[in-house]
Amino acid sequence: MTQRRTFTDEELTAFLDGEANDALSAEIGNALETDAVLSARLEALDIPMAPLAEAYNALLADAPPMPVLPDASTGNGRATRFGWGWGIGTFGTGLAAGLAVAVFTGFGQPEPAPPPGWAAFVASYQSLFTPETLASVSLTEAERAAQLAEVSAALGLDLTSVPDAEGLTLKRAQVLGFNGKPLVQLAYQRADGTPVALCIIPAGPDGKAVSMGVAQGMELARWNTPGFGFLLIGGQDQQPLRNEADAFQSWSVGDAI
Amino acid sequence: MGAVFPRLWRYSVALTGRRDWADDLAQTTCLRALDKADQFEAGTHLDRWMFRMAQRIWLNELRSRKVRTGGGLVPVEEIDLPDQSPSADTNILARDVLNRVNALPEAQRHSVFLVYVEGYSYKEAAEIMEIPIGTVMSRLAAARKRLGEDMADAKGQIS
Repeated sequence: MTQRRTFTDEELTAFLDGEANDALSAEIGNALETDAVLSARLEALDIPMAPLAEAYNALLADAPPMPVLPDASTGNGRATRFGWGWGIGTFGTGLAAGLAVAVFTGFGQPEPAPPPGWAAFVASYQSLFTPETLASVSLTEAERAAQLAEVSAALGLDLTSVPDAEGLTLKRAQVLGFNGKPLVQLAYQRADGTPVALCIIPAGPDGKAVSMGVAQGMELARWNTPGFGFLLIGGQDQQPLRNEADAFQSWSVGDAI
Repeated sequence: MGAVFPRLWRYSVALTGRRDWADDLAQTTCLRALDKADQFEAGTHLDRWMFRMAQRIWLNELRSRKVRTGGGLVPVEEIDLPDQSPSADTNILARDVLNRVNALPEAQRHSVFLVYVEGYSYKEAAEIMEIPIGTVMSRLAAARKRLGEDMADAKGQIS
């Protein structure tokens, strides 16, 4: 009687990845015809990796431009776009080392822990807004009403009467998505140009008072009403954001329900 | 180097788990590459050479400053994939897999990235990470096993 061989997870992984040699592939292939346990083990290891590659491929589009590097041909550190070939020779080691150190200065200082979940996502998005982003946008009353009606319908919360907190001008209302949930972003701008966003997402039944924090170098305020999570983010000064958050929070626990 | 840079930056994201750190790591790697340009062998692969350099710089950074990203647990929000509607379903699946991969221990995550995202062979990944090929196999097998268990658990909770 032939002894049934037990394959290691490493061998099965190599088989799945096309890295097993011919002999091992044949051996596993033959065993799979009669060994149900082996089939089950292989199936458990057969994780679809294509979505992972797709996810990371999406990141490529977000890569920053090639940094300006010192000119290797002169070694004088003159900044230039990297456009020369290899083999020119080593440029000033000390300069490069110095630059490397400079780049990493502060690199290892851990930042405060980011807010969890959707708030971190929103903060990353908001960090892309500059005073110029929405400067030229000016909603008519009709456009404002239409956009607020649209996001209200998507969110299941009436936002048509949301007030502009003092000093804020609504520039755009839009529906985003996070983990399959609608995430409404009301993009505001202060008189000084600072972009501020009020974001709302379906959440649990418990209400929570306003709490302040920082993410991506911006002030943020969070609170919950039954069924919805609110996040107001923007600027580097806490007090104006706190005032704005209080105004929106008062509205959210009153008129919006 | 310009052609490699987007992939170098993406690898830096995979290594560090953070975009801002990836910016620094990719830039520092370019500077280091510039400094070591005479050591690059014409006809060999620039991407692997720079990836290996990025890996070394990152490991040195971790050692010297003891920067640890929570045992390899990096929330996907830090990596912040764009929401690419209308392919929202695909994006959710991708995000789910990415979340689980990001929760893997660092060493496993790096191996997964190089083989399943970059498409390197085991041998090439081993050369980049400067580890034996058997270690790459072990890490990938462990990663697949853990991901499989996670996904089975998730399926069990839903049903």
